[in-house]
Amino acid sequence: MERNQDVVVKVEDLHVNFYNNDRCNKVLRGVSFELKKGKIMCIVGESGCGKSVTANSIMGLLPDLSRIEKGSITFHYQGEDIRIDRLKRKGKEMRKLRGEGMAMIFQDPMTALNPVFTVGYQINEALLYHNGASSRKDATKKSIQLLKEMGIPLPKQRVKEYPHQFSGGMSQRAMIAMAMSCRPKVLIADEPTTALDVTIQAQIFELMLDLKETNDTAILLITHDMGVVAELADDVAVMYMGNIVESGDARAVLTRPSHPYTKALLDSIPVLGRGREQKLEPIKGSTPDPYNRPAGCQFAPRCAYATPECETGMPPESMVEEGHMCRCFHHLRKKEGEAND
Amino acid sequence: MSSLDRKMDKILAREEAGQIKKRMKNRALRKMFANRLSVAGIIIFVVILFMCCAAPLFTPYDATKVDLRSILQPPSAEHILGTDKIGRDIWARILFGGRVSIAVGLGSALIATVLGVSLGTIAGYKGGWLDGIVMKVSEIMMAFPQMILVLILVTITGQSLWNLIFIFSLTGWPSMYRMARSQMLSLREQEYVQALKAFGIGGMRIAFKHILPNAIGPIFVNITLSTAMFILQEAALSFLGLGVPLEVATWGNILNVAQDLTILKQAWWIWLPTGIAVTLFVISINFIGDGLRDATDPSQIG
Amino acid sequence: MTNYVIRKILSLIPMMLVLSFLIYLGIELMPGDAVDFLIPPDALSTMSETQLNEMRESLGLNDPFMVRYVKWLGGVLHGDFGYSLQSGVPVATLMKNHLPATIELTVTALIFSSIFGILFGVISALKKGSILDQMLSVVGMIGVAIPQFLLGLICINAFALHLNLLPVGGRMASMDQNFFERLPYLIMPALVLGFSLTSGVMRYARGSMLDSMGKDYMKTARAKGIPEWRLNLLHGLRAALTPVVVLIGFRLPMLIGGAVVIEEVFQWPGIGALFVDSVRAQNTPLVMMIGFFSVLLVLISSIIVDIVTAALDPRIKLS
Repeated sequence: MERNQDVVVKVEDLHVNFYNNDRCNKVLRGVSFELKKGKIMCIVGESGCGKSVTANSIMGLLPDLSRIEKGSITFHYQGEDIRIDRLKRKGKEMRKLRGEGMAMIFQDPMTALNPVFTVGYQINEALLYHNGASSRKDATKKSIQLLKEMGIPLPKQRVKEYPHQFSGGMSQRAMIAMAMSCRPKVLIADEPTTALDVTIQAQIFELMLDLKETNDTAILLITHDMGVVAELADDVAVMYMGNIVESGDARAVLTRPSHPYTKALLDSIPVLGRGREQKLEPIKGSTPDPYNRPAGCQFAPRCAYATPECETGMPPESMVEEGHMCRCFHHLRKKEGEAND
Repeated sequence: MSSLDRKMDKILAREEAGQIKKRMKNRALRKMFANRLSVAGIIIFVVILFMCCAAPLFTPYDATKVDLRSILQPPSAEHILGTDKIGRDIWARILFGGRVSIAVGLGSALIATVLGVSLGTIAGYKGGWLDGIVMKVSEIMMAFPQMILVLILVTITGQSLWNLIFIFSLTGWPSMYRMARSQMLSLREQEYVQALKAFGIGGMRIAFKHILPNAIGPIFVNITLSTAMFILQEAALSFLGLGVPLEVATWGNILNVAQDLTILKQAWWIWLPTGIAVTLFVISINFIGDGLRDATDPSQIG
Repeated sequence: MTNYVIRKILSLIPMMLVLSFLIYLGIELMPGDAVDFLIPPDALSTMSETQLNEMRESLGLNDPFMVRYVKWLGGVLHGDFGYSLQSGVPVATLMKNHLPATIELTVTALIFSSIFGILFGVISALKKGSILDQMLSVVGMIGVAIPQFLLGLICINAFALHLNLLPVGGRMASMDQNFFERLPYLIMPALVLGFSLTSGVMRYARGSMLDSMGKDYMKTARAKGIPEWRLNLLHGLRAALTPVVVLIGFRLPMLIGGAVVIEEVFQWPGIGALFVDSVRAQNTPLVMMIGFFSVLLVLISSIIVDIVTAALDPRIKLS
């Protein structure tokens, strides 16, 4: 198997099931993608489509009542290929990777920090457990430096404060400081700005772009906001009900969307400046019940181009162009037609 | 880990075969019956309640019948649980005593609930001076350790069955009042209440008809908790000889004789089965209460 | 903090005034002559009717009710709590003699149940669903459902009457014996008294711990890659502790109420046993004063709980 030198994490045909309430929910149904050094990869999709589960699988943070059924997650770290899907989720090896090799930040920074410890203490912990600092004193010094890097004013004083004394934006900066403390190869951001104000959002993204440049970190950004994708992403994957339906270079996917779902997503976004006249096309219907999924293409019931063929099975992957993948029968038919002409 | 894996395989296989369990429509009831402990609680509760209510069906003896020819007899075919110091049948006393103990516990809890909830609903909805006064009174009463307040009131009123019910109801209402009041305070500002007001519906009607039903879950949970507490307190008071007068059979009064060390050591049949009956009954009430709390708590997934 | 404590204590004054009024009302409503408990009973027996009348006049017993109340309150504030009707001993002396035993008993029970309740609750939460967890919850359910005195009786029967390991009851005065000689007398009553609180704390600590373990910050901490034990004990337990401490504070009145019964069961010469005796003998002044002090104790402990909570949780400010 030849490997691109830049690939840090490779996810292949990942299947994950959740087993809550005596029911089985097939959350991920064959997800494949690659994270590359110094690149931002965005996963977009509606809530419940499995984007957070994908992120948690990579971090080994899946809940107890869930299981990786099939597929692999390979993490290229310190010259070795580590199969994350085979590691024990709470085992020592996985623990060493978390925080050191890869780190994660979450949606709501206000609840993601433990309210009873100071921000400094929580950053120190990460440093001390991955030999990032020799002593508590050293750790505190480094924490202050990190907070400063993340653009937090008065870091010397802030390091001694509790999370409730931080604003949302500040908390998220502190979270990023914590995540970056051991200079991980991969940073996973699970909707990092959803809970924040728009102006703060821009600042946080600025910070992430900066991190990408200076540390060569591979960033996996999970979002439901197409605007964010256009702004930040190098690569993008569009998810719907546990499948990646379209993926590839961000510019290619955004300018030449091939999957009806991607098109619909792009059509449903208002564009600032186009005024009242613009026609917004909301996607009709709603996401199906995960326990009662459509038999074939998951999007078929909501798709304007659906044919009986779409109900036979999930369409295979086909290339729209170099590095731009799409899973859609409609697209396949169109391509065949073009070839026949 | 492997047992978890096996369980997951089982669910997966069932799911793939298309067998899904039918679910009960009412969410609260479904959760209640899914909780095995609360079902066990309901069964024990009903069985004990029925046996006490229909006591004559289960024993030929009377709870107060003295038989000096057969005193302190160990369990035998004639007396299943033996007899006490003056020859009364213990089994009969447990059954008939249960009637009084349960009546005191449940009755006081119900009176306290009616009292506390109506005060809480009215005062909580209206607010103002009435609420202020009732709140202060409840604060003072709740500052006392319950047991001490009960004993103080026993000193003032003297001992009798009705006094005890009166005292329990009097000491039990503040917690119900607080609960109902806090529900009122949080719900009366809601928009649907504003809408009802705009329709010109009377205040008390809104309070009792449209707001109170929202608190039905916590109210029932509170009734179970109070019932359990009062039954335990009646037992403790009667054990001290300060509860129901000794000539009335109650669970506490049967246990009273165990203060005598020779009876404690030699006549286990007098106090142990009675103690088990009390404990079992209180456990069953607690199970029901726990089940109710989980079932009516909308924040828990079911 | 001192500021807070002072303000809190000041805010208790109106309540204590109302309470003292009710207590005095209770004493006055008692059948019988008020002189009976205002002067030592031995002096009472030697007095004639006219002397008594003069006494009433000089003691102010013929004054209006409110004046009498204010005088009584003045006495209470100076430590004059009246006399016991049974023995004629000043209430203050009785309290002083019985208080150490009660403090010894309740504080031991409190420490015992806090430590073991939290310990078992946390173990239960960490091993959720295991056999140990199920066993602990069964014990916990029995603990809150069994009448305390019954548990006391069972223990006396087993450990004292049949196994002869521990004394049936009673207490040794602290001046006579050293700690280890007195310990056997303390073990059973303290454990029995603490058992129901232990069960309550255990059940609550388990729930609070499970709650804390499901929080977002636990995921953050796990994503940091810190060891599982540190994750649970430090991040989980530390945040779960505050509600448990509040619960212990709330349950303190029940511990005091329980002490009343347990002291009677084990013949423990504390305030609780004294209280039961006075209730039996309709010794109203003593009953009322003990009631008064129990409320004071509850209110003071609620202030302590506030302070401890604020120390545990940086989000809570004392105000």
